[in-house]
Amino acid sequence: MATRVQFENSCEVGVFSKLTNAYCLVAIGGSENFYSAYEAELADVIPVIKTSIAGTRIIGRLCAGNKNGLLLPHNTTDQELHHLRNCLPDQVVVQRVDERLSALGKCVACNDHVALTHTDLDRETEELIADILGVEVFRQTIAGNILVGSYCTFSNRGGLVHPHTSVEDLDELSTLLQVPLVAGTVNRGSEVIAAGMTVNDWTGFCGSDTTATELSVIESVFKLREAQPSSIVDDMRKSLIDSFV
Amino acid sequence: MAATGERNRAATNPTSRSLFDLPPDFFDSCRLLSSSILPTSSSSSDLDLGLGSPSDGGSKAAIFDKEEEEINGFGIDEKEAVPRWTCNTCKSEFDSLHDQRIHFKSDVHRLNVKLSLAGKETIKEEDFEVESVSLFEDFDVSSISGSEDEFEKGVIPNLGISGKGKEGDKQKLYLHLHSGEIISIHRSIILDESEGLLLENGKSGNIANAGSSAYAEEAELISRLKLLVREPRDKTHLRIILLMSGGHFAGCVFDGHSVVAHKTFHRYVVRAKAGKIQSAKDATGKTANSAGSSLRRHNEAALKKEIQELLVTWKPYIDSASCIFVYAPAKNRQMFFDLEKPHFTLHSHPVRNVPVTVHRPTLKEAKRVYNHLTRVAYENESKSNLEEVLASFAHKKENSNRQMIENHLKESLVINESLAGPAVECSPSEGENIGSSLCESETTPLHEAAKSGDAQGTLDLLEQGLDPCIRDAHGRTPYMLATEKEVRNTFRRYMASNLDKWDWHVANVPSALTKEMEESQAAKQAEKDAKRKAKAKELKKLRKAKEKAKAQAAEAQNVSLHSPNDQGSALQGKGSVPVASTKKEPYFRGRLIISKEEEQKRTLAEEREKRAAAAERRIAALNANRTNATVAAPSNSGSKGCSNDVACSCCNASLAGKIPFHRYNYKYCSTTCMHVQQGSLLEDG
Repeated sequence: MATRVQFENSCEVGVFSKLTNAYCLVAIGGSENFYSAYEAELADVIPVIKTSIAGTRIIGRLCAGNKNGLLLPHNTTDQELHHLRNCLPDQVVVQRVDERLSALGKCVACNDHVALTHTDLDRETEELIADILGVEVFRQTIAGNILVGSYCTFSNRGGLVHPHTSVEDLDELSTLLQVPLVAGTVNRGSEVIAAGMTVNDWTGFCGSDTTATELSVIESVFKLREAQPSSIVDDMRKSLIDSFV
Repeated sequence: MAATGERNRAATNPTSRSLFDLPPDFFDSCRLLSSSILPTSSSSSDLDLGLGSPSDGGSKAAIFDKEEEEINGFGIDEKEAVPRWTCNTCKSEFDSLHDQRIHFKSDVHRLNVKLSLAGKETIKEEDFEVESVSLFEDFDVSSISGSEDEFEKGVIPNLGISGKGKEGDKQKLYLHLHSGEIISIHRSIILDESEGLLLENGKSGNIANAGSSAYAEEAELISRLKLLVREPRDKTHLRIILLMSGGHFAGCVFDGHSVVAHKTFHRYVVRAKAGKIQSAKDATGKTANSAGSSLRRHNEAALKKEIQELLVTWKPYIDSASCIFVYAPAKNRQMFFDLEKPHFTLHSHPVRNVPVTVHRPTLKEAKRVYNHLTRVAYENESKSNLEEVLASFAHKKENSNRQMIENHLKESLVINESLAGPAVECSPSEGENIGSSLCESETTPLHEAAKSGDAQGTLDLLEQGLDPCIRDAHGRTPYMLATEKEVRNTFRRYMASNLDKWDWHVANVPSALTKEMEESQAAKQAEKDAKRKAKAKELKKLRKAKEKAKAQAAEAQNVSLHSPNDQGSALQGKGSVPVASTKKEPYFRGRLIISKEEEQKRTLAEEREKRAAAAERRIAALNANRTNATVAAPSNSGSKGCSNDVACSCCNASLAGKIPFHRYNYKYCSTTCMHVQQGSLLEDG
């Protein structure tokens, strides 16, 4: 299920948090409400880590990551890097990137298998993305917007892109990424998708302005209704019990 | 891998092969050709347009491959109802997800995305190799990367030869083998840049540079070639390629076909959008202190260090290298040469520039450049190809002409065989004329004369009937080359007298210059000169008047200086310091500004003088006031020229309490007064 949350009266929750299948980062300094909303959803499954990046709270826009790794901009302090390395699971590789474009979150959109990137990213960064995050990297734009990380968000199960994306582009992107995509909005019509929401394979968080319609679109395209971390076990249990009976 | 591929291709395609595949006796009894007898540059570029390159068998094969691919692709597309794998940016379709994904990672796609964002036309993959060179220059080098698939397909762009045409020819040596074949090799593989070439007949050939110090004789050259072919492949005759640009470095040591060692580096040094490396920007004097710039500076230093360390480890290779090819445009060169302890110098090792276009330095690019440099191309085919092309061109033209004429005749329902006959006959010769004029039209004597500013020579040539409409290699007519006005006028004068002789519009001569026009122009000029003279005179007069007025004022001052006490006593009641006195009454308010202005003008004068002058002026003001009050008529005409502070210079009305209008030294109560005075002054003058 997707949850509506707010960070200090701001609905751009994707800016202040980063959610992946292996960890969740939230900005420090937010109200306890914001933090506890994440804790309540995620705490027993993945670690929820409070951090700042480069001394700022806009962590969701500055870093890029998936279950395999986390890429941090060059202005991340050593302390922050150390803190993140300590808190993240061992299999998650944390790497600081010497890239001119420091808002990696805006330049990279990725799930656990593929990534779309800004066309101007350095070749080395592209290689790092491929290596650290274990993804195939494609340089593409979303509806003519170069900031792919801002205008689309996708998990391994589905994705939401800028509302102005044409049907052809949508088809092309979904064949390229191999996930179903829908053009839509969050936060009552905001086209900056990734800033307004953050999602992984089984849960998502949207800004509190998100309408019911938007929420239902999000839940259906990201397949959040049937997806719970326990769903696999539930399935297994069902079949096990079936066989027992 | 690439080398073996190259060899295979060379074996199957006899038009080009590597230098190192040649049998040892290949260059026996060969003869060097001067480039003038050879297929000219224009012909070879024509061929490139028409047939792909004749000198590069690889590309021919590649075109073939592509065609086949296209055919296959279309076949599949036709079978499938809906094409599924597309790229909308590049407007292309693919057979599989794999192809699509490869495309999305390729340079073409990246470039196209950039182009489409900039609102420009995207380019086709086929055109990419050709067009990208110019496009690369628009973007910074590091943003474009070498692509995998194109090389494997065997598309080796021969930009060095065909794209540049003439320069390409100069970079090649043409040899006539004993078997009757003509081959070409890159001159830089055996000759230094400083070395010219001495042809058999003693005079330096076209290839030789005018300023070159050393000349290699033909025999020497051929012996070098023979040595090259026979040289043992035991790592004693290495060739090193060092490429460096845009923060990318690629170095590769070759021994014949095999790669002995290679290394590539990349660092972020190029300023995004602005282009160029950071040190180039710093050299302009403006130093940026941004995080990015310091990052780039650090990276540049690190890159230099890495390269230098690499060169140290490669010292044995460098020592045994028979030549080193370096591509490092502009500032990049210092990465290699600006060392305290140079690892190779121009003297001890033959360092040569890479004479072909180099893309982003990678290992693949280094290999491509090397293969390109060491290729032997068979040129004899190109001649026959040229003839074929010309023949087909003429044939086509003939056909099309005939068709056109026939259509025309059918339409007008006039069937006249005799008309069609000569038209068809003349068309090929016309084509030849065009061709020959295109080839020859480098420059005409008229071009030369116009360029050199020889007006008489130009006129003579024009009178001899030389065509001013002929364009040179750059498409410029003689008139466009004329830098001096007199030469241009010569053209225009000639145009005026022979308006129908040539199509002057084609010759780019703007308008005729007749005698009347010249006369009227001269008259205009004279008028202008006269006006200017008059103006200068007037100014002089005014200046004189000013000086006079100043002299008068000084005289008056002297007078007042001599008798400060008499007047001082009169002033005592109001205070002897003028500033203090002006404060006291509103009567003096207008004068405050004036006295202040005066004071500013006389900052260099002594305090005492200043005071005296102020006192004198005040007295004058009092007097004037009195005269105004009692006598209506102006008392003295001498005050007219003098800058009377309190009265209008024209009507002598008091300016007290008003802000006066200034003109030169005069002050007026109103603008009308000013105009009146101006008129009277002019009359006086």
